[in-house]
Amino acid sequence: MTRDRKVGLILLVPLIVLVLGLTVYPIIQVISLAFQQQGLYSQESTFVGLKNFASVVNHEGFNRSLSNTFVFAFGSLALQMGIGLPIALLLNKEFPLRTPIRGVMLFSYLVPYVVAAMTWKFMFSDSTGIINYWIRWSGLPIPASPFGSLDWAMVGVIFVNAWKNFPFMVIVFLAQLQTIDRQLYEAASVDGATAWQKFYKITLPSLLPIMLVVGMLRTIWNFNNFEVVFLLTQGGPIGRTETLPLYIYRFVFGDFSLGRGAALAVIVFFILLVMSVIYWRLYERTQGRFK
Amino acid sequence: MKVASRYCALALFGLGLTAGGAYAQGIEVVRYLSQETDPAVVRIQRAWVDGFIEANPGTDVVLESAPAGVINQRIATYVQAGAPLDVVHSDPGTAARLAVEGLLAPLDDVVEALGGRDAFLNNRLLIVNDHVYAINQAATSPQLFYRKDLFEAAGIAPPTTWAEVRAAAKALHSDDVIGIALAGGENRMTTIMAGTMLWQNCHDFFDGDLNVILDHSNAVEAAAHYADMLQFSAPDAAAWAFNEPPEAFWSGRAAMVIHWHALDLMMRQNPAMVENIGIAPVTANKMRATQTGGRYVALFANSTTLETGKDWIEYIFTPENAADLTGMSPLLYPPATSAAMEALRSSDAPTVAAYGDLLFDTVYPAAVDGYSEILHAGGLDTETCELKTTGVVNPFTSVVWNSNLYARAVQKIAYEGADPAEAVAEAAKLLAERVEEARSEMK
Repeated sequence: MTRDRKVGLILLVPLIVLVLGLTVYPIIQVISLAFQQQGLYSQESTFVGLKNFASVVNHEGFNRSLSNTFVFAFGSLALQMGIGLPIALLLNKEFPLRTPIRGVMLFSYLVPYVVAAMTWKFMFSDSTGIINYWIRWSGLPIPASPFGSLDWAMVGVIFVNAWKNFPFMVIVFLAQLQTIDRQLYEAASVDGATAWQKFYKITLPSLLPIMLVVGMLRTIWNFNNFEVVFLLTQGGPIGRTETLPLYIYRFVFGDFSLGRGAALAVIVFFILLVMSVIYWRLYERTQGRFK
Repeated sequence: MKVASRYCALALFGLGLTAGGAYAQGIEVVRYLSQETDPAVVRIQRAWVDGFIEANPGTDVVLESAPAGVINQRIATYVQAGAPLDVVHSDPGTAARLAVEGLLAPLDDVVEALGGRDAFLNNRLLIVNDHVYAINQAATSPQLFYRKDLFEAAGIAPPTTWAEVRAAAKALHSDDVIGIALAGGENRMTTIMAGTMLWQNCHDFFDGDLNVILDHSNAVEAAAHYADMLQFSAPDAAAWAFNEPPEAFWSGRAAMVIHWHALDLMMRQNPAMVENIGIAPVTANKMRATQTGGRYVALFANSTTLETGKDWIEYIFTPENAADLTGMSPLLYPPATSAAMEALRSSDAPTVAAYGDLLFDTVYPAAVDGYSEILHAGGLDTETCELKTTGVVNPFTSVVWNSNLYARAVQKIAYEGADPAEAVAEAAKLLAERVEEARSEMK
């Protein structure tokens, strides 16, 4: 081993220690806890094999929470992309005050989750909410407060999550849009392509790889999102918005069972791992197509 | 794992910079983990800290506030990390569980110093195996708050029974006014409110042997009554928890609300509004019973400053100091001892004066009907419909409060039109399973 290589390795040590301490150790600890029976207020634990996993999977709300989590994660993703992409396309055009408007677009992303959730909850509140008042006044056929509605609660939490996070999509898409060669559009115009054809044949394929990357990231973040649902509905009404992170919370702080909470966290970890692999394969396939 | 826990403990310890500095100077530091976040009350606590340090040279108290919804997580983090905890301000369900798990230090000598067990009012001491492990600092009981103007205009007297409260809610409910601000979410607030109605209907979650007995016709009737009342609450009551009912009442949208201390903050911020509000005992059906809950002060057994911790608890429960707290928030902090109650009668606190006789004639006597299902499991006699003291501490009430299965049964009846008997039977079955799981995981 050369001297430079040794120095390089020594310089890597602090980083390796950090990664081991902050990432690897907690993961091992959670996996270890998943096989043990341990109460929240106890440091003593007993090895119970797969009992926690069986208990979690057979729990009355597991299937409901699992499907709610997919609906919430992909519903939020679709809405975030659905809002983010048109705005990014718009902000990619030249128009007056474009720069300050780009800045303003970031606003909701900069607001902490708790502020965003409480603000929307307040605005939809039956007692004090201005949006609630407008909906009641206008007679629109939607509940004035979606968070208390069996049919609309999930729509409500997806909407707030999408509102909070769509600027992330705007930023990423805008950055990618600015890398597309203008000559492609000019050539397409010369060939008589319509605006839709230019979008479908040039813009969308160029965005596809980055869409898959942000899709993967946002899926993971949406999947693990706790704050929005907890603050708006606490998983209700009647479990309509109960997602897996809330379920983990309920096991640990509701049932005082670290073991079952850890078992569910491990299940979530593997679901996300599988989804990440799928995304990655799709990404590689997309990259291969454009080589 | 023990090594890892020690590192976590060390990290937590290191975070307490103030405490660390004090330790370095040889000062006995007590960490007081309080769930009080009301600025006015925190100011009182800070004044106590100053007074305690002055009276006990060589000591310090680090006041750490965590909201009610967070404090259990904070306590659990300390326990899991193996970090020493001192004095905590916990909810009764958690206090009972901690006591039964052997994590708390006995406070018998503190109680003796404050005049002995007899000096304390009913339902103020958490006793396990004849040792006091926690003292109730906020033995508050829910009351029925109502708007006098609406009741007078409709010619309705304050309701005292289920039938009367339903009739009043129905008569006053309109597009602009909610008949009664009741929470209908799947949360602790709905569970406690529905649980109170369960008791008023002469039934309980547990018997004296801590078996779940929820699957009963009285429980079905109570859940159905609660679900029925929700039609006179807000359209979004299905998402309501602790804060929304008093908010609806404060905003003028609700004609009635059942709450513990809904008026204390309003009394301080807008005393004029209070003149239009009446307070009555919560309604009864087969019997009169209401919750007496509160915030318990306890000392962890692994505290490194046990004696100073006890001195601190004794200090905050002295009649003079307790009166400061009660004076600021009379509905939330009723006196814990007879001496403190007497001290309060001569208090010149504006809030106490504003409540006047209501406090001593209506609010505090409600504790007589108060049932602490945690201190006296099986204390509601389902045969005679009377309350009794059993002294059996129930560590599984936290399972009822956190699983919210009875609240879910109410929701299913109210919002899905489920059959009440089936909804309650399912809740009872699941609750029994959860309790058994908790029992197996307890030491």
